[in-house]
Amino acid sequence: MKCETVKEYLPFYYHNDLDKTKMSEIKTHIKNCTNCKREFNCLKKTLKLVEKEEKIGLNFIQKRILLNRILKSAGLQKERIFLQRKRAFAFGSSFAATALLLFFLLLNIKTSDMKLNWQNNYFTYKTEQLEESIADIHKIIAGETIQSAEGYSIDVEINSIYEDIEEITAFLSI
Amino acid sequence: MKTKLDTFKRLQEKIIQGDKKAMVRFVEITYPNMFQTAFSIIRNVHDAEDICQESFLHFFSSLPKFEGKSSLQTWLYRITVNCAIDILRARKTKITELNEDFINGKDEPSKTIENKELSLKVHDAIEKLGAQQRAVFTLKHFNGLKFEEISQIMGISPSTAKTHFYRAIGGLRESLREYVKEQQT
Repeated sequence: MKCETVKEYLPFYYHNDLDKTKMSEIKTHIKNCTNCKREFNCLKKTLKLVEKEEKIGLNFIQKRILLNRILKSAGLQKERIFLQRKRAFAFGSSFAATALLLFFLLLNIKTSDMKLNWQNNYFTYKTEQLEESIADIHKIIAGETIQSAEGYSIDVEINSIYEDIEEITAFLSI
Repeated sequence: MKTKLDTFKRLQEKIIQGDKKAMVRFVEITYPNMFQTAFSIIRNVHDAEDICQESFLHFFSSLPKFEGKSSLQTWLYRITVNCAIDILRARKTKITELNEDFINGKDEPSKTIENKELSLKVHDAIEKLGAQQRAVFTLKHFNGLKFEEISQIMGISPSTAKTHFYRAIGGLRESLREYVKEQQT
């Protein structure tokens, strides 16, 4: 492609408004041709300059005023108010739903913690009972006197151990 | 995933059926672009606001006449551009009054003399463009429309739209060449 042709296409190339083949040809040409590259940079600078000076941005209040003017003249203010309320309701509902979800999530975490604590305590308690029963059996064998609600025999203590072991097994299987 | 085009298509269907909430949504989406278009052609904020308001009013009042040959947005652009060009041509007087109290703080005391000079140069460069060139340039450069859409809006052929655009850019480059060169050195 000749430089003159490329220069004619540059404004359209800048706006990506050419077919793929031409875009690719011009891109390659610009890479290799210093003059066209300079020309393209000049064009970019000019357009950026114009954009900077001409792009007008209304601030929030100005936008609201203009929007209200348009809607008022078109008789659409009631619908706008309705839509605003609907959006506010939708936002409020989503917010409330998220808050509730978070609340239950935190509550669940806390409940799980409590459950875990209770399980730990129960396990420790049962293990201690088991240790006590074994200690009692040792005492009975050694001929010592022990205090027990169920009596003083080894059978009673062994039964108690069996019960404790069953409970602990059931507890662990849970 | 919903695209912008899908949103506009659905809005268009609802608006044609007379759904007023869809009309509100349409105004909310399109009015900033219409304002920018009107401003870039007319170069006066208050006039641009008036044009914007008038265009929407005209748009809604003539909705029953809409034949669906183009999209509603294109139609609205057409009304806005025509309104702005009519006012611009009617004036014919110099409208270089800079809206300094409005354009992003262009009248700020902190703004240097060089910057003010540059603003004036850019304004002058745009003033030199014809109404059609200015409108095509605005629709292409600021609104990113395709030449087919611009041709529908302006009621001209796509090749004429391209010519206007090419000449507009040529004019701007010519007017600002000195400044751009200065910046390069």
